[in-house]
Amino acid sequence: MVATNSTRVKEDVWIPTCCGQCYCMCGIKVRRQDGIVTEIEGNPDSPTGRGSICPKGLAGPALLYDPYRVNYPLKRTNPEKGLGVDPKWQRITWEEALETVVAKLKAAHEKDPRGVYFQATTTQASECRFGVIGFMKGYGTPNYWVSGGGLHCGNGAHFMNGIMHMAWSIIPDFAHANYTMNFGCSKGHGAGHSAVMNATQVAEARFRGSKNIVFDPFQSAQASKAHEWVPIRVGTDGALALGIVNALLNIHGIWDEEYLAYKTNGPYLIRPSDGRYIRDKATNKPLVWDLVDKRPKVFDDKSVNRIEYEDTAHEVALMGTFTVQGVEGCKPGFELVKEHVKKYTPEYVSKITWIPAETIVRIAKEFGEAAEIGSTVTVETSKGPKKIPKRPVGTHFFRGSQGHVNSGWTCLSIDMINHMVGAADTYGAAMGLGAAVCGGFPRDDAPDPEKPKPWQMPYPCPDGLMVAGAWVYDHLPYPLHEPRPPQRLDLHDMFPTSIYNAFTIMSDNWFDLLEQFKVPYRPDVMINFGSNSIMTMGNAEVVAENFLKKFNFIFSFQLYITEFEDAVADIILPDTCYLERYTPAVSWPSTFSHPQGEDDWGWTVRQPAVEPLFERRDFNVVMIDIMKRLGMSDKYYKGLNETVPIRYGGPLEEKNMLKDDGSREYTWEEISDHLLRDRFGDKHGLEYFKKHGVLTWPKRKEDVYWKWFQDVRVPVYFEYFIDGGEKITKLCESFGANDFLDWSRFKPLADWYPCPTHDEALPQEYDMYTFYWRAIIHCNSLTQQNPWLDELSQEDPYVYALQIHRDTAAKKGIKEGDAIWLENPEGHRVKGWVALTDGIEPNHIAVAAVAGHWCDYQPIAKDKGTFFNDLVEMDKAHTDPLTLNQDICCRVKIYKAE
Amino acid sequence: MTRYGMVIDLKRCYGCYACAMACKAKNRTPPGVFWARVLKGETGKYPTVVRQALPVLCMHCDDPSCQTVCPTGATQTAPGGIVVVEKEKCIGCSYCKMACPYGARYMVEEWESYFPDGAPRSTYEEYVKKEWEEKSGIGVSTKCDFCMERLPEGRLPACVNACPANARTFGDLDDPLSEISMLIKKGRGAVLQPELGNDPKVYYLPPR
Amino acid sequence: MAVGIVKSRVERQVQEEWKGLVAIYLFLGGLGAGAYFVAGTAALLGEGWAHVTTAGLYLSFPVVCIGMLFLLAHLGKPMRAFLSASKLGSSWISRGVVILTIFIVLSFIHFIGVISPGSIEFPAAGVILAMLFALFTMLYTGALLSGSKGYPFWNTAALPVLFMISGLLTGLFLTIIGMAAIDSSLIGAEQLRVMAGVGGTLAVIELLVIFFFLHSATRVRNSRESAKRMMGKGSFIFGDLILGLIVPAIILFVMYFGMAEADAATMTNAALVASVLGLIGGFLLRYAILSTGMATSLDMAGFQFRPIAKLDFERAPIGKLPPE
Repeated sequence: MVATNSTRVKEDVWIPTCCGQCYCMCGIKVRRQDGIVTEIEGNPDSPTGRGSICPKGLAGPALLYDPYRVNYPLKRTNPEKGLGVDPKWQRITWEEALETVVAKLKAAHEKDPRGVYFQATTTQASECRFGVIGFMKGYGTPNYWVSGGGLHCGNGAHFMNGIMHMAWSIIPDFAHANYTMNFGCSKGHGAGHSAVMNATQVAEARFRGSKNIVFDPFQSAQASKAHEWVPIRVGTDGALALGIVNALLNIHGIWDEEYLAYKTNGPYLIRPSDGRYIRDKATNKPLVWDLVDKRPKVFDDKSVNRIEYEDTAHEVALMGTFTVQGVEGCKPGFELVKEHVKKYTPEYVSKITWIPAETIVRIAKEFGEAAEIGSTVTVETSKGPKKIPKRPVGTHFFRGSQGHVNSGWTCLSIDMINHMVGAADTYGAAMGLGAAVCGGFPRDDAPDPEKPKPWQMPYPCPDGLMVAGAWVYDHLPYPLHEPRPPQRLDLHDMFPTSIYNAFTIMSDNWFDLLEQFKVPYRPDVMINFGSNSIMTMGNAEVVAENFLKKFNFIFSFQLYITEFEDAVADIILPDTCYLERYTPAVSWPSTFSHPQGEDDWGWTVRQPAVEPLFERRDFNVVMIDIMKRLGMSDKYYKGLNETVPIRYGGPLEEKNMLKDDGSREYTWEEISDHLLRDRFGDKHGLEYFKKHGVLTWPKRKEDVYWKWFQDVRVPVYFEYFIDGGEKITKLCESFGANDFLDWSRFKPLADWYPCPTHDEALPQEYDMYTFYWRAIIHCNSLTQQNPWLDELSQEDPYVYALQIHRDTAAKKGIKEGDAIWLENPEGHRVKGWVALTDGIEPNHIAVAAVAGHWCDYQPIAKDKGTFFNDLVEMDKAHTDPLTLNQDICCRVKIYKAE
Repeated sequence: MTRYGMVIDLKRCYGCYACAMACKAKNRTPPGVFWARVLKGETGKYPTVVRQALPVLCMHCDDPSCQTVCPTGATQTAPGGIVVVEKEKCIGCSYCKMACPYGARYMVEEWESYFPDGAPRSTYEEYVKKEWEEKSGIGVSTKCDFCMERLPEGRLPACVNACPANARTFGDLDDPLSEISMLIKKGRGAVLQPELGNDPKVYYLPPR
Repeated sequence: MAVGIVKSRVERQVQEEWKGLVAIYLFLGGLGAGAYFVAGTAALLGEGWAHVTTAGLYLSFPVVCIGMLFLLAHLGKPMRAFLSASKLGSSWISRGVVILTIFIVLSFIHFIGVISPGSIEFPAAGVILAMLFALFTMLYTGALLSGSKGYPFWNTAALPVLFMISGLLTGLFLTIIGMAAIDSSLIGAEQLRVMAGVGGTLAVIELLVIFFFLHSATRVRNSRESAKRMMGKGSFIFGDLILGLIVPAIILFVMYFGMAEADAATMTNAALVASVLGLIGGFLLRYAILSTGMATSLDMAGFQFRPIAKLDFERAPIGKLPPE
């Protein structure tokens, strides 16, 4: 690849592209000198990053040039699989590798295409949307999951944020917020989507004097910067949130009438007998009570519906008891919420969370007052100046608070605080992150000038509730998925929410479940793209034995030989890293990692800074090749055409569709070019992006603060969950699986449910709570092998250590630097080294990152830190019935290691 | 006269190490060498405990003790007040390292790869090894130079450029209207260990 | 799952730059200069002390020269050492190089004059001048450290004094060893008794200076930790304080006060024991001071920043490379 001395040309260029060390997709510029990547900087032209960049992004060269990267296809020559078994890797040619995998896929297809399972990483999120989705649609398998990342953060948070904000995540509008609350997340402090821009905005907010309250069991980066750190017992954030909602509504009497009346289903009248909406007989629409005309009206009757803030409408009842259609005792949903949360008294919540009752009451008051309910601001929209509410407060959360068996309701409860004071998707409020409303790139030659692409707009369901116009998956967060007899290996298509789960596939009677639910096929071939699921899910032994070893053949696109390949893969295909490949869309789909705020829209592409080194080949290039060899190119193109509309902001024009009639073949670059031309016109094809790296255009204010510009409502009373619960219960019963999970959690009102860690019946020796935290310098399991990041991890006092409170340690006779075991009640244990601190709630132990690798092929990562996930159980007891999210907090006993 | 300096706003800084890594990536410092570094501290008793990061680098003192003790004159103050090492003159006695209260000096006895010994060296590593030997040198004292070769191109020091929190401001201390001068004045800017009399040109704004 | 092989969670704030080689250099520099000072004093005392002079001269400048070799070995670029006298105005290394050079030249001339009588007549003024530079040399080894602003433990005027006293005492010991090595039959009991008296006194003074040095260090926040560590070091407490100073001091005082009747051989044996212990102690003293030097903590907004205690990992082993 590199020119020899005789042919060496003096070259010094900067290539605008996109980072790929995590899922944040920051714009970067890569310097190439004489064929070598010598420097990486943030790209100031990209709204994602604006020239700033995090340590992971800067450490790219150490990934690109790591001598431990897999450079040639490898095959396992030892048929025995499992943890600690030497696969006896042998180099093979690409031809042999591809022939082998294609033969396996052909055979699998003949048996049953659904036996093929795609497993992918969250880190290369944008690559997945093509190769993985195209394959599934083209080849015909519904089986897919992203390991770890997905279940540790996705099922609860993303789904619930999707329902309430149509967004992947939420974050306060830090540019204008004055009082924010952070429930167990590092957003704005180095992690989460758009991490760099969030950090910039939060730093600016601190500078401005904006207050941030952080609930976290330890002094995380965000807690250390907070105006107030409130230590909390792990897994109890939902109870705290409901306590705050109760304090707002029933102690301080603070709520936003206008917002609740016109932007939520708070005024929808509920029948007392079954908790469902009272519906208009003629239209079947839910009814609200018009306080002016003193009669019920359908919710979207012009007289009682306000779309824009400056619209006028009759007041509607949020409280009171009404007789409607002869039914007595009908109450608005909001009143039911208000009544329901009364049991979350400060004292009760204090007992659960270990936060003093008066702190809860005080913070609720401060938050409610800071919301400045009634205040407005005028913003300059594309249709002139418009008045909108100003609500400079917001709560946000992520993995820490949502990674529990109460995940779904915890997420909704934390966000409910925002909706009570009208602080949602308006000026200063809690905003969707990965903003979902986009008026498109304005261009003269747009086929539909009214809807230039990428066009992302929500629309109301018949009940007026918000349906996302764009989403990362085919499966929208709302409405609920219709439960149906499962066809997937994880049975997930029968569940109403979210997209995958672990408790089925990881169970030791997986095949019995398949039998019971009449899934007629069994796992056969697994394709892995970049994931190290042995380490990112839960207990490694369980993942390997119960799940991965059930596959007859596994091939893996990978950068390294990880613990996953070493344990179970049959063939490794050497993938390119982000500095060696094209990806035509990174900030989309559905603005997955686009920063919140008024800064421009930007569409960034990833392009190679260098040609792939050695024999590495790009995942998406190889997937095209594999599909061609399978004779399924046409289906693959059709699949790709189908992935575009919901993910990339609207359908492809006829002329830009990939031809799926066998008339032509496409390279990966041509496919990329098609998408880009379709979104941005012929002037802005791949050639344009190769030169500029990013295309930006101004964001309309009504796209940023969209709440009072869209005719959609969000639920505060989750009437439709009743339906979902009834359906899934019935479906399970039809398979003889009564009490499969606790479906009673499908109900309209939020509650907090204890985690297995909160079980008071646990033997006393399990006296410590442990949880893991996201170290700023790492992303998932990938970055652990990066020697620059490893060095920083060693610089940091805590990244590789177990944080334990000084007094707790003293009581247990544990000293600084001691090696100790953490052992959970199931008997799984992990080892780590102690760092004493005052910065942690005394009953907790904090563990960082996906560390503690053991594979010899990643010697930098090996033996550093603690492998927390080995303590994570993936059974029913640790699964949230509502979202099937997995619990990732543990109770452990600790003792010294020899 | 231009007198380059830096302000680091500890209120903005959240300790992400981007500065340390940006410096490493740009200057290709070998293992263990941090021309820009982030120290972490903790103070107080639970629950009123708080942690804080302190990014440090060469303070480019007006009265640098490293320059005072340097026996050969290898340590010099370049135009702009940037303290530099003329590597051809340095004898590697480490006296500067001992004299610097800010831990800004690093000696590299032998260039070492970031990857384990015996692993094949990539073209990149050969490149950075050569560059280190030519630009910084083996057996001599090395340190931050405010990325001075970038300044004429109008590019900021790598650590300033990278900082996600915009905690770092670089500029001319002698210009009373420069952003950095204003920040120091308005934001209660202070230097580290003023009692030592080194007159550092890196200022800090308080964390709270 | 097997996790982590780390050495321990150690503190990294102790400097490692100036350790073995520099400790030997500082020790030998002070030792040689001290020996010369003893030799010079003996030369001024007259012919009766000739054996002392000879022993001192035989050892002093070679020891200093060997010390210089250790300094050179410590340098990153020893071939450029000739540059090191460029900054006499400010740098103690520059000054030290000049002091050492003058001292070596003077003591060498004196040495030539003694080993080949008649070749050079080294005048008394020359001896006094050389003794002055010997003192400078001993002071310089301390001043070098006390010029290190980054290390508050060293950054004190007590160090030059301490190193000077220690230089004199170890020089005395070295001379005694030299006397015995060259020709123990020439050793006079009375001379030894005088030397024992002087040595014992120096040892007591040195103990007092060490006490003062450590005591004042514990009163300064930034050097307290260093002082605590030094006092916790077995090699310092047992090796230097007890075996290297207190025991020799007792021996020397016993020799001075209690062995009036003893013959020269017994006295020599006693002196030799004290001397060997004293020399080891002298080295351990410097080593202890160097190896407990901690960089100043940086104070900001109520925090004291130092590289915090961390897990200390071995350099990653080669592991397995993917097959080619």
